[in-house]
Amino acid sequence: MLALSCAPDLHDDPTLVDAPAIVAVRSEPPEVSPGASVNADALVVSKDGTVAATSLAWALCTSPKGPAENGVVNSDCLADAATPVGEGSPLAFAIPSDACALFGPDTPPGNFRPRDPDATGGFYQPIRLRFDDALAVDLERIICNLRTAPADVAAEFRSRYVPNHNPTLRSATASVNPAVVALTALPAGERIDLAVAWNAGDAESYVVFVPGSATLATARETLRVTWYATGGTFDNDGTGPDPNNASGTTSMNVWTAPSGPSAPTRVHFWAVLRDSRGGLDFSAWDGTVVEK
Amino acid sequence: MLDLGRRSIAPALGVLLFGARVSAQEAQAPAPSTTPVVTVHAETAPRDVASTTLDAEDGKAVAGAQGDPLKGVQALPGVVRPAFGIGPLVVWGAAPQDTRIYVDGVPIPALYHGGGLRSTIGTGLVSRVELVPGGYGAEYGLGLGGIVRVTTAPLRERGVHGFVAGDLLDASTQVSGAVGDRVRAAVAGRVGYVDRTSPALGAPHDLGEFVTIPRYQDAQGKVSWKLRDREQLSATFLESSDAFDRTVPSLDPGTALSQGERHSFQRFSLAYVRVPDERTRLSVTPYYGFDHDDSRTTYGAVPTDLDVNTVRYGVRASRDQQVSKKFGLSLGADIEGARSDLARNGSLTVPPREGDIVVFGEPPGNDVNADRWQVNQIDVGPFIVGHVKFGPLMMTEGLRLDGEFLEGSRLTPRIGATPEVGYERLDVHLDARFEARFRVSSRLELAASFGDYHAPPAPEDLSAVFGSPGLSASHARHTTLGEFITITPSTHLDLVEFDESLSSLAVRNPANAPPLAGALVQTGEGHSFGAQATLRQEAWRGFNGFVAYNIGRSDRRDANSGPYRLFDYDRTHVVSAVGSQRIGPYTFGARVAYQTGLPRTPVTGAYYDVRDARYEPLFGAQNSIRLPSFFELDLRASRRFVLAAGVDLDVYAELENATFHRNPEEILYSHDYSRHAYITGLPSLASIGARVGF
Repeated sequence: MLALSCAPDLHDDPTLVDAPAIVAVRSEPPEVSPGASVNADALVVSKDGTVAATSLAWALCTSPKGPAENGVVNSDCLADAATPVGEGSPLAFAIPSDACALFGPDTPPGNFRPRDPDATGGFYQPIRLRFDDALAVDLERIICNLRTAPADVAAEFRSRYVPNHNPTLRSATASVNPAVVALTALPAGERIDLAVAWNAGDAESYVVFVPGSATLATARETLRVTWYATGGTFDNDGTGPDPNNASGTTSMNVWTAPSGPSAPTRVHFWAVLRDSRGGLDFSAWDGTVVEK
Repeated sequence: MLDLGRRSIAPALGVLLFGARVSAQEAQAPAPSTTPVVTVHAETAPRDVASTTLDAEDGKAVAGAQGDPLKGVQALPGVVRPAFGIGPLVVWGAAPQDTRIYVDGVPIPALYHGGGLRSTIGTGLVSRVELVPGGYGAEYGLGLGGIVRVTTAPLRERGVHGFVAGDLLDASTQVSGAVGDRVRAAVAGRVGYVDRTSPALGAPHDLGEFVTIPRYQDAQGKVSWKLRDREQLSATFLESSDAFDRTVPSLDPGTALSQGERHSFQRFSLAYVRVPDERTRLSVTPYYGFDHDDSRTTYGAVPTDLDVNTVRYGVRASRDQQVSKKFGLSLGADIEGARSDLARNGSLTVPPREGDIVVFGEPPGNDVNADRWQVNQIDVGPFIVGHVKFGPLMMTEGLRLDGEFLEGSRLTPRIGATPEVGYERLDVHLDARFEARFRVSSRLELAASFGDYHAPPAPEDLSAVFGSPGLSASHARHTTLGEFITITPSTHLDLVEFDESLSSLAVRNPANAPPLAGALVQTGEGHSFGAQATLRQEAWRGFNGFVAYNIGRSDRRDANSGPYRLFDYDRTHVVSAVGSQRIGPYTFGARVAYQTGLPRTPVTGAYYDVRDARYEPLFGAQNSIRLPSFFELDLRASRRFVLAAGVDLDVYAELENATFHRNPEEILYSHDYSRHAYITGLPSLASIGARVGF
C-alpha cells in the first residue's frame, strides 16, 4: 500500500492580525446574577495595534438557541434578536433579569426541557458585538438555580459555589536560548520564547453538578492563553500552563520574528488569558525587530 | 456470476413458486479427494425486482475489493459511495443504518470493518451475497432501506482444507475438516494491522487527524451436522471487533483532541433445515449475541461519550410448501429481541444526525448533559407469502404483521428527585408486500413490486435527555418497476425504476425550548426516486462484468410541512463499470466509478466566539452545494499457481485510483471560514496480497 498526502494546506494562521477583529471581552465581574450590572471591556485589534473602539456596538441576545444548535448562539441574535445596550468600550450594562429563563435552566410553566450547562456547569447570557465588519459573540456567565439537581444537592451547591473571578495576566517576557532579550530588540528571523504569567490563585477550584450521578464534584479551572501578533509566526495558536513550570502559572509560546527587507520592524502583540468558566484578562505590548 | 434478479426465472417450477429454493444437491467439491454426499442447501431465490447477487468468486475478482467478496458489494448497482471514512452502505437514498445485513438470516450490525476497509466475515466462508436495495418480500422487515443477505458456503465433506492469506491490510486463515460422514467444521480468523503498517508505507504523519485507521479482527466458526437424509443442523459463530484511538496533541488545552472507539459484535446461531420432500422445506434459525459500541471524544474541555451494550436474540422460522403446480405458500416468523444498556455523556450534537448542519472538523457544542437508560425491544413478525403462477404471470403476495413491544427505563429525565418512571407499549403494523412478474417473450420480462415497511426506533434515540422515549416506528413505502431484456443468452439489460417515500422519521426538535424528553420529534419525511440501468455480460470467453448507471434524487424534510432539502447522501448520477477477464492462470480486472458529489451546506460567513477563542460558521441554504464529483479507476491482476496436488497459491496486485485523480472528500475551512480547500482522497492505493489454499 502506498498512501500519499490528502490534506490541503490553507496557510492558516489564526494568530496573525491583519484586519480589525474583536478577540476578547473582559467583564467585571465575570459571573453575575441576572439583573446585576457588569463592566465590559473589549479588546479590538488591528494591524496598527489596539483599536480604541468607540463605535463598538453591544447588544444583548434575546433568543435562546435550540439545544441541537452547534454554535454558541441562536443565529437570529446575529440579526434582529438582540437588544442594543450601547457603544464604545468599556461599557457598563445590566444583565436582563430573565436571563436564567432564557439562557439558563429555569423553564416557563409547562413541561419544558431545562437548558444544558457547559462542562463547568455554567449558563451564559450571549452578547453580540459589532465593529466595522467584525462580528463577535461574548458570553457572560450567569448565576442560576440548579434546577435539575435534587433539593439537598441544590442547597449544598448554593452554599459551596463561589462565583468566578477574572485571572490576572502579568507582563510578557522574551528570551532566546535562554537569555532574556528586550522587547525593543527582538532579533530578526530568530525563534524567540515568549512567556506570560498569572497569579497562583487564578486557576480557581469550583463545585460542579454532575448530572449523571446527581452529585457535586470539585473541579479546577483550566487556563489557556491565545496569542496574536501583527507579524512573525507563533508555533501555537494557544497554549496552556507550561508543563515545565511546577507552579503552573506561566505559559510559553515560540514566536519566529520576521526577517527580510519587507518584514515589519514594529510588531504589536496581544495575549489573552482565559479560564474555563469564562473569566478573562488580556495584555498588549509592542516589540521592535532588529536585524542581527 | 452476477445475478440481477431476472435470472430467478429458473426452469424448475418449485424454484419459481417458492420464496426459497429447495434443493438437495451434491456439495460443490473442487478437491478431487472429496466424496459427494447429499446436503441441504437453502438458497434464497433472487425474487426481488432489484436484487443483485454476487458469487464469492466473482466478488473476489472485483478490482478494488482486494479479494474480499463482500467488498464487491460496494461496486453493485444502486450502491452509493458513502462519505469519506464511513463504512456503511448507502443504497437508493436510504440512510446507512436503514440497510440491514443478514448472514444466513441472522442480523449483524456491520458488514465492514471501520471505514469500509474489509468485511467482517471471513472470505472463505462466504458463498454469495445478495443486495436488495428496496422492495423486498415479507420475510424481512424492521428496516426502511434495503437488505444485504450473505450466505455462507457449505463446508467440504471430506478432508482437511483451508488457506492462509495476507496482504498489507491484514492476515487471515481458515481451516475446515470433516469428522466422520456427518459432521463438518470450519474455523476462520483475521487480524488487521493496517494501523501499524500505514506509517511505514508512506502514509503522512498527520493522516490520523483526518481519517480513522482502525485495528480490527474477526473470527468465525461453523459446524454442520447431517442429522438424517435431507435434514441438517448447523451452528455458526461470528465475532468481529474494531477499535481505533487517535490523539491530536495541542499545547492549547482548548483544542486538544482525543478520540477512541470500540465496536464489536458476536453471534451464535443454530440453523435447522429439513426438506422432507421436494415440495416442502422447513427451517428454524435461533440466534443469540452481543453488540458493543463505545465512542469517546474529548475536544478541549468538552467530553462526549456514548456506550451501548446490547444483547440480541431472535429466531427466524419458515415452512415453505408447494401446494400445487400453480400455488406455493410460505409461513414463518421473524422474531428479534434486543436489550440495550446505554450511557451517554456530552453534547447533544455529537454524534451528528442526518440533517445536522456541520462542517468538517467543527468542534461539538459546549452544552452537555448525561443520561443512562435501558431499552428492551421485542419484535414478533409472523409472515405469510403466497406465490401464484398463471402462465407467463407470476405473483407473490405477502403479509407481515409486526408486533413491536418496547420497554424503557425512563420516560422523563432525571430532574431533581423525580422517581424513575419507565414505560412500555406495543405497536402493531401490518405490512403488505406484492410483486408481479410477467414474461412478455423469451427476451423480455416485466416486473413490479410494492411494499410497506416499518422500523422501530433506535435505542439511542429513546433517551429522555438526548432523544425522546415517545418515539415509535418509522415508515417507508417502496415501489419498483423492472424491465429485463435478454440481448443474447449471456448479455442482459436490466432497467429498474424506484420510488421510496419515508415518513415518521426521527429528527431534531427544531424548537428553541423543546418539551421535556422531546429532543427528537417524529416529523421527518423523505422521498427517493430514480432509475437504474445495468448492462451485464455473464461469463463469455472468460469475461464477465457489467456497466450500471443510476440516476436518482433523495430529499428529506424535518417538519412535515416544511420544504424539502437534499438528503445528506444524495448522489444524482452513479456510474459503475466492473469487468474481469480470465486468461489461463491470470485474471485481470478493472472497475470504474463515477458519482456526483455529496451535498454540503455553504458557509456564508462567520462570527467570533470570544469565550472559546474560535470562529463559528454561518450557513446558507442547507445542502445547496455539492462536493465535486468522484471518479476512480481501479485495476487488478491476479495469478494462480499450482504448488502441489491440491495446493494453490493465488497472488494479486491492485492499484486503486490508477489515474491518480484527486477526489475531494470534504471541505476544509480556514480558522475564520474565509477560505476553504478540499481534503482529497488518497491519490493511489497500491496493494499486493497472497493466498495459499489447500
